[in-house]
Amino acid sequence: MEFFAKMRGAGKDAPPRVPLREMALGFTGALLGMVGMGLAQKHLADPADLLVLSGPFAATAVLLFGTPKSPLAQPRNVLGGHVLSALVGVCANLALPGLPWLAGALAVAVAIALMHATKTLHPPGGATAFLAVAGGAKLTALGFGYVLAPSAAGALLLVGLALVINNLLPGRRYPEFWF
Amino acid sequence: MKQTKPPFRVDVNDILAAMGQADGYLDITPDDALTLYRLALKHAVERVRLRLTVGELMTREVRTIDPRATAVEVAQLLAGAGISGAPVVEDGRVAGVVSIKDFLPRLGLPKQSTPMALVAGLVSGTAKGAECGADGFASVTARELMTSPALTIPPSTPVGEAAKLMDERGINRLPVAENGALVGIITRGDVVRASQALNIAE
Repeated sequence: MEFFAKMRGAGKDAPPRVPLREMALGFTGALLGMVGMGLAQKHLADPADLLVLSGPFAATAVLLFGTPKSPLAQPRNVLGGHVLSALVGVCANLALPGLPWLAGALAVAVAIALMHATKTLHPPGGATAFLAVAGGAKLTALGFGYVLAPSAAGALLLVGLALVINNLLPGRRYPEFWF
Repeated sequence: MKQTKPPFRVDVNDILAAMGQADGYLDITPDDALTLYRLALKHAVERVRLRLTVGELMTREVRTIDPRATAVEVAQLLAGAGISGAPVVEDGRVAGVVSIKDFLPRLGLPKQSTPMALVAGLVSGTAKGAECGADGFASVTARELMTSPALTIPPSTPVGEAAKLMDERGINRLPVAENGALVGIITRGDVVRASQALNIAE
């Protein structure tokens, strides 16, 4: 019964808890970053009836400010991940009208494969793809516009914020690589 | 101090190759993985260095000398074995150590002179060995010749401590004894080889 044996876990060690300093930096970075996103939405995007803030960017903030050295949190991954996933999501929604349960699943699945193929794996991209199908009428009404805003615009803005904030925080450096 | 090149060094290309071999996606940049590898290696080497004991490194089959052997026999035995000294063992216990240093004063050379002084004496024809002669050494026993009491160490001694001891006392070998009984011998060469094998950390 190897199948069940595998479920007992490989018995490997969990990584150690990060130092308090790392928690403080993650907190500060995410607070500033998400305040920046919120203010941009309120003062720049709202007046133009656009979106820059959406749920997946909260997840991106976890990576950008919680694990800034992770390959998953690099600009290539954030920008590429959100844009490609958004594209995949919109396509899935248009291709499978009336089958949202399948379109949503397919969007996430294709997004993962495509992000891997393009070396842009970024977990929040899965949410971006999924929301293109299941994000409600307001998002689906955007059509391919969803790829530009909030996806591309929001990712660009958040990477810009991370670039400023992470390099201002003592002992931090971002990014590890650009492309 | 001369910087020796480590026998090998893992670089970022090795990490990239390893990441290519590893199944699945690893959420770490090659540079961070390399940093992690080097730190981990340093930890391992430190741990081994600290823990490696004389007992793990020593030679177990020791060439020993009978205290009743004559100096001539001792010299021939050491020369034949290609070693420069050996412990004198009586009833399984280390009574002393005979090395080339015990012969030199009896050949009219200063106590701290080196084997090269002997060579110098021979090639220049001023060696005093002839005065003692083979007959003189034939009547000297290992018991009379040896340096005693012998300094011995237990097998649990960390290798670093043995190295320090050899350096401080200016000796080249240390008999390893457990509860008085000879169980092995550790030489400078053993220690050098051990540190060479561990000279892999950056």
